[in-house]
Amino acid sequence: MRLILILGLTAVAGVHVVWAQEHPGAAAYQKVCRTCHGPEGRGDLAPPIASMAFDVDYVVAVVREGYGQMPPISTRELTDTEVAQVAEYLKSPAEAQGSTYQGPRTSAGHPDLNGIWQVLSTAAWDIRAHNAQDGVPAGLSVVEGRDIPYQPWAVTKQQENYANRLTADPVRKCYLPGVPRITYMPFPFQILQTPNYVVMTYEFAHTVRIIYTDDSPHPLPNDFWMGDSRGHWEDDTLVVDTTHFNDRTWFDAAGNFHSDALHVVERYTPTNPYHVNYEVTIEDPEVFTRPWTIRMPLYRRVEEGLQLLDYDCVDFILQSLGSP
Amino acid sequence: MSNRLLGGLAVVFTVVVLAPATRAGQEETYTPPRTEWGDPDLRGHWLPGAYQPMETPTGDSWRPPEGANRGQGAAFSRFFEPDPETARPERVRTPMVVDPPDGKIPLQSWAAEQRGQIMSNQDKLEHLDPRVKCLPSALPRANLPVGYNTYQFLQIPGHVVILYEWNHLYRYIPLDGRPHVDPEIRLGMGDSRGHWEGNTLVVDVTNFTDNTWVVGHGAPPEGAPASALTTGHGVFHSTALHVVERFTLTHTDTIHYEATIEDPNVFTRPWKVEYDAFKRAPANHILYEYACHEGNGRNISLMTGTDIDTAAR
Repeated sequence: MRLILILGLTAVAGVHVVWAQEHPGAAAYQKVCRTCHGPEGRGDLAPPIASMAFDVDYVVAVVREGYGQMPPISTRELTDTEVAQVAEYLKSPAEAQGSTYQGPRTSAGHPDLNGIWQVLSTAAWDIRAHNAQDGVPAGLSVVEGRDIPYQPWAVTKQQENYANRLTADPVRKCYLPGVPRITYMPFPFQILQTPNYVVMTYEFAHTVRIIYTDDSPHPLPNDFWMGDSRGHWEDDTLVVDTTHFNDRTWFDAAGNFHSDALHVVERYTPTNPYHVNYEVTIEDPEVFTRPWTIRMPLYRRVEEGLQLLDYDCVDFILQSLGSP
Repeated sequence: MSNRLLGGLAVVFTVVVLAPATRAGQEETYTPPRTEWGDPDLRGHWLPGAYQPMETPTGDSWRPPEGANRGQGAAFSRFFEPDPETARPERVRTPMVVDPPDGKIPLQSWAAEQRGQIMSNQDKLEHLDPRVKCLPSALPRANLPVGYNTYQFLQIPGHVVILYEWNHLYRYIPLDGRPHVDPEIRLGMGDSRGHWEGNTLVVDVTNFTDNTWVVGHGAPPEGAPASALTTGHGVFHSTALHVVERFTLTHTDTIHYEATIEDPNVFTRPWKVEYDAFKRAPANHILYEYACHEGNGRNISLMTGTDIDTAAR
């Protein structure tokens, strides 16, 4: 019964996971406390303090007066408000660690993402709010704050793209979809997770992304349709930094676009074995006025015997253009 | 047939007979490392093995004209003659086809005729090499030594995964004994099911399409008569294609590869290729993006008379 209750609470807490790192106490903790108590409050030079549910007054007293080996900390280093925020932050171990993930882990201790995943949204057609069209379901915006912060000239360009989308959309020519569009194409994809590589293979046009998680830097400045992806784990979040794009891919079939200055940071945060919060920050000073963010869940496909099949787009387009 | 060619063939047959014994010896003496979970460890980055002719050539010995592009990796009858530029120690003259023992692909007679048509009409769209269209390589073709291809092998418990640089192809090979996918399903790289036999990864592959070739490597030199080619070009197959592959680490830097190929609609009997397919890549090697179709606009325009950049679908 107790186990069921804990799992139930975990599921509820999972809703807040994306915002955990934005907890007001997180910055103060990282600034002062982590040096001794560790990045996740699990203890290092000093004992673990995460998940202890300390009373706020007690925390303030210990911080100001010191305790054992712990030196007193002045109001110049941490204000009373910040101390109170840290105390709140420490109450939930999951939120303090930026994760409520309960599920299988790899031998390296990271959440085990191996398996087949898929997005269920209409972002592939349009990442903004849109009404239904023939063959296109309606959908809400996946963009945080609703609108994409285009520079004025880019608004016009996007409208042109939209008007010409049936011939101009690179995916209609079977070109590689780019990032993040490949993630929310309406096809499953498979994650293969090893200590040095997270490989994502996609059913659409047998697209592959090799994400290096071996601390290696981005390579020489070649341009790639799918960019160059380097990843690392921040607690239970896989953070993937992708650069070296060309300027020929779109974000969706509605002509939302970027330049070759595109910089994409994806955050894959699993909340349980079946759901990953997928958050993408998109930066391109040539096209946008500021970085912006999209969010959507990834769902694990659980059908027995499921495997990736083929969508050999090239074969279809050659046939449609009259090749035997 | 010239005396020089006969002499070359004698050398070839000697090597063919001796080669399997040597390989068996290597397999006995070399113990491959194991993964943390106990499987033989094939992980890493790999380069193609040495260029090698597919078949014993038929017909005339043929030489490319002086100064002509001889075709990357193309193997033709000249492979069987003494090499005037002897500084190619990596060139292997034995045919990859080890069974039947004559080193020839056992095509049914209609299929041999069809292959001749394909080879003589590579400028015609309906006979064009499917790889030029950026269709999947299929097997064992994906494992043949060609330029522009390197490989990454990855393993997790229960799976071996092979990434191919050329045209970003990939294969998930489950090792848990699950049955093949539904027989209705067609897959460009086939449906792979693997298991370990000692140190050898054995992979059973079915569910292929019928728009790819079984073998073929490099580009045939311009003007080469089909009868002189040994590259295995133009060897098509039906959806009944069944390939059984064997990958064995025979040296720290070499994966030896065998493939038994069966298709009762096209061949008179099962046949087998065998060669060192994968050489370990230098430490800093990575796979780059090979965007095949994206750079194929000119070919597509020649093939279809349509400019893909302005075409509506």
